[in-house]
Amino acid sequence: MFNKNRRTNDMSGYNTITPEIIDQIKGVVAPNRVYTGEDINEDFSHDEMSIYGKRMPDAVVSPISTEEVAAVMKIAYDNNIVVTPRGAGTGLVGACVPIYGGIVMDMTKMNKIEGYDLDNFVVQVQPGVLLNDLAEDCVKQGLMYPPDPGEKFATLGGNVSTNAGGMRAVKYGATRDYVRAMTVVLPTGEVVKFGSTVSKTSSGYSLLNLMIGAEGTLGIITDLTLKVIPAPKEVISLVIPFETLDDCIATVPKFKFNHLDPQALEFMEKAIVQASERYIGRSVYPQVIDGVEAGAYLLVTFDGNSKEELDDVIEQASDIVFDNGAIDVLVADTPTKIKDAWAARSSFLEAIKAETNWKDGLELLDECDVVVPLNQIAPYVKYVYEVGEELGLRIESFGHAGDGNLHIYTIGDDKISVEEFEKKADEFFSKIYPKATEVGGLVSGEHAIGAGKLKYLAESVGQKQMDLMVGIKRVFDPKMILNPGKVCYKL
Amino acid sequence: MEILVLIKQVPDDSVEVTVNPSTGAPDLAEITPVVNAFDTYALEMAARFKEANGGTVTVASIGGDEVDTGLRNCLSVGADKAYLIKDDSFKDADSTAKAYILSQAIPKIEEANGAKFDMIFTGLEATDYAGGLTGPQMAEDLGLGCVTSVIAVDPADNGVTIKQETESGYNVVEAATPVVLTVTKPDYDPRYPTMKTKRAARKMTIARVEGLDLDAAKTAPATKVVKQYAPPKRQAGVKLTGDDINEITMKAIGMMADAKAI
Amino acid sequence: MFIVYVEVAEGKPVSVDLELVNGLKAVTDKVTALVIGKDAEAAAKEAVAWGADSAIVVDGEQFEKYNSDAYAEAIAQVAKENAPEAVILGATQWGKELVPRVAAKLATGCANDVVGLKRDGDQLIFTVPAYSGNVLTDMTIEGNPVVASVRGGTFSKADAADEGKAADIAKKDITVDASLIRAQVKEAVEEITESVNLEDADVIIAGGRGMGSAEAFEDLQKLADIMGGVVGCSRPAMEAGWISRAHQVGQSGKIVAPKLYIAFGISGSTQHVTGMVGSKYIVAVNKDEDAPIFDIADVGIVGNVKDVLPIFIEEMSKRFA
Repeated sequence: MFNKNRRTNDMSGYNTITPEIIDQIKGVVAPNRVYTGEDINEDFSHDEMSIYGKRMPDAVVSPISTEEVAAVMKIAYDNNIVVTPRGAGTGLVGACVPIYGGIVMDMTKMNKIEGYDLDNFVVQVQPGVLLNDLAEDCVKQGLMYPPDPGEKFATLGGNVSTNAGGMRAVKYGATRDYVRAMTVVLPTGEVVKFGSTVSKTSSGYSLLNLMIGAEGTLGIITDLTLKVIPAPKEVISLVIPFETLDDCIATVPKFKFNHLDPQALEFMEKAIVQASERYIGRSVYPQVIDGVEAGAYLLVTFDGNSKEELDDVIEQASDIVFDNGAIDVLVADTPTKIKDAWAARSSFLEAIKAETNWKDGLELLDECDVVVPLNQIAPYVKYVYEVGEELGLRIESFGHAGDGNLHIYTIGDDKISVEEFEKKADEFFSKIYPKATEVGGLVSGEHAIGAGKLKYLAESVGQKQMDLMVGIKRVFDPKMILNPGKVCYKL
Repeated sequence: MEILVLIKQVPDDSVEVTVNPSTGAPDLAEITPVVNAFDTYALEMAARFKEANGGTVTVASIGGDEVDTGLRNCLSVGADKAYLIKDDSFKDADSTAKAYILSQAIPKIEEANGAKFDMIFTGLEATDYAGGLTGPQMAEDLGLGCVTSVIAVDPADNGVTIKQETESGYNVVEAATPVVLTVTKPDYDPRYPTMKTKRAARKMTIARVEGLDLDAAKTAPATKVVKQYAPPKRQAGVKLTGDDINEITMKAIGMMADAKAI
Repeated sequence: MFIVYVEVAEGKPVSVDLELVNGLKAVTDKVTALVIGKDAEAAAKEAVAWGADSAIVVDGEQFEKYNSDAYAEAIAQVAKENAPEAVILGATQWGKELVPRVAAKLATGCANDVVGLKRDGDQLIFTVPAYSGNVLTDMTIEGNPVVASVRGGTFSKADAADEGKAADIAKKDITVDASLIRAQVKEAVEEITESVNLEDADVIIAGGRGMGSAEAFEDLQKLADIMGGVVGCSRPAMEAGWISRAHQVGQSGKIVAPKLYIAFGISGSTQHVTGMVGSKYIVAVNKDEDAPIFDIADVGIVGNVKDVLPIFIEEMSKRFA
């Protein structure tokens, strides 16, 4: 864990920003988009998981073009100044926290949707475009950008940098599958373009794929070409209550086995549904159905070409789940009802945050998003709750049943201090991460590593792999000035 | 209590409607018909009342065979019986004509049910024409009391106690039954249909109410459409963009002053 | 001759009705105000000062507090006796529920929420909005009298009240048969104590999703106080719990037409626009340059609300000092 608000003196090889350097920057970027000192908004010192520490940058630059990013990066490179790229700041692992000060490159003003190429089914966007805005714009064109991470107000640059997944990944895959090309400013200030509009390629090492999920440590993305698909004509959602999580998860592989291809498949336990109801202030899903109390729910969306096609699909799906202990199947077949069913799911993180405690300006909340094989979900979740109970931590969980990606949150109550919470959280994760690896899983499905999960990644994949990653970073970033201390090594 | 919920099938109100300049009528053909949102609140309120206090819930609608879908959806979210009030002369009926037709059809439904209704629910207004006219006119035609903007109803001695939404809160209203209630959004959502209820609804019959003895003068609409058109588009003014927020904001304020808006 | 039912709130005529007693003179030769209830006489005098040619007042125990059964019956009786061409009400919550009941009692046609009324020969043409305001329908209504409610902002109030005008006010005694009183208000519960008068405001400062928090709305209130305006909001802001529904402007809130409407962080969905597009001068601030609100704004500022609002507050403090 990093000390909060510590101005590090161990900046081996890095320089501090001088007024002369600020002037140089103002020579290549309009001065009113360069911020220093008190003009820097406190938001830039942290992301959505403040428990991973806060650190104010020495300067914030908000560029509006690739040329500006490259020019600033070159100044930083020539002067050994640390640079941290940042999107909307919605990350959950501290990846955009400027732990060594320096410049934060705020990409949010580069927010234009540049255009669609409907012959090749791609859209060109600047990295600061919000996921929500692209999603809505695509709908207007009769298209769909399939990746649908829960945080709709993250930037596409951020999504690509974390290989964001989301609820449609079970059918459509993650962000990686939709990135065709990108323009990147390297830490040296040089500009390169990776990839192209075409989908099939065997043309050298995939530098494009190295950038995806690199969390802004290999280069700064300044333009993206993303794949889009025609929007499905009809959609329907089902909310399926079960008595136990075991019953709920056991049905998941049966969908694929019976040729049913849900667009989204989420599971949630009773506790998180109740928290969500307290937050929204209204009943979200019925908790007692036909006199039976629901312990867990499956939320499923199917898409298709016609209402008749979907009616058949939900009949089949219902037969499967009834055979496996579903209490009933709630059908959301109008736009309003589908929206309501998913609004509940989208509110889970906020519902959790609404009930957290804050101490010393930090939220006593930590989380992880391990991925485990499907048939391990139920026993793993049981294990996680047991560990939480042992340590006196409140646990909430939900997840993408279709790909085994679980979201597990630990919440500190208001009787413990920040240090105690950090200690307990550390103990908690030290148990559950290795357990995930043990059952054949991985440390993160989509939230990525940042600074917060570095230690667990090392434990999970081993030092050899960490060294390989550092080696690759050195090739891209010889002076190690771009977002140092994240993903694969500590300074 | 015996409850009747009157529903109207309307174009999905989440889709924006445009006027077709050549036909001079709204373009509705591509829009999925749904049960009017306010009517779904009324049905949910009626279903909860029945579940708490006993009785049955009947739904009915004026229309052609295309309304069967809406009625069947109602059967899967709490209604026990459904009736379609059907006749070719109803095609152009406006709220006044519909109120009359309903006042003649409802006694026939009561006969078929073998019981009189204690409460007749409608939605406060329909999302297409938002008049809120049919329910209260029908109440007068039936000689019944009418309470609008209802957000809750409970049984009471000699009738029902109603919460009526107002601008600053709500009124507590007492009314004798039978009574007409027009319902607006309470603080709960209509329930989901389930596979079990949908499968059951599929097996139910939607009875027809036909061959009513109606006064032709009263089934003719009192309102006549002269024309329909899109509202005049307000002219867009000036959109100021730029890096210097201070500069463009001050410019805007200057324009406001020039236009004597401030 | 038209009869205009003038609703009374806190002892005074509601503003839409003052618009009607003046504006309807463009469509008819004479306007008679009808006022019912406890403060009827004083309100009737005001209605005459603001434009009505004469007034009828109905008073009595049955009418002390608003009761839809009693009031609908009284309006119908007065209409029967005076044979106007039309009975017009303001499209308030109560006006809209009275219209169909009065029409049914008179066996005539009716319309609610009229946004335009003109004469074509001896025909009255009523314009009503449909489909959330995306479609306008011109219609004729059969009946003698026709009964309709008119939306605020459709007509204009007179520039000033003519307090000196001789008030031709007639008292009418009406008894409503007890059997017709079928519902009674037992208690009026106030949940929202703040009094928000959007319909009468000359200046409305409204906030939407772009405001981001309840605290941000406090800044809007500051600006509204400086400019002598009222704070409004869009539905998403209300649903987020940042401000009460008393401030909501739009299809499911209030329809307003102030002199100046400033929209901060409002995207401009049809649902909202339909509630404020009648404003005289519209200013919009939104960081999304493609936001539809800019299609109807007289001047738009593409920028973040957080940056623009402080500048407005500072500048307006100077101008409104």
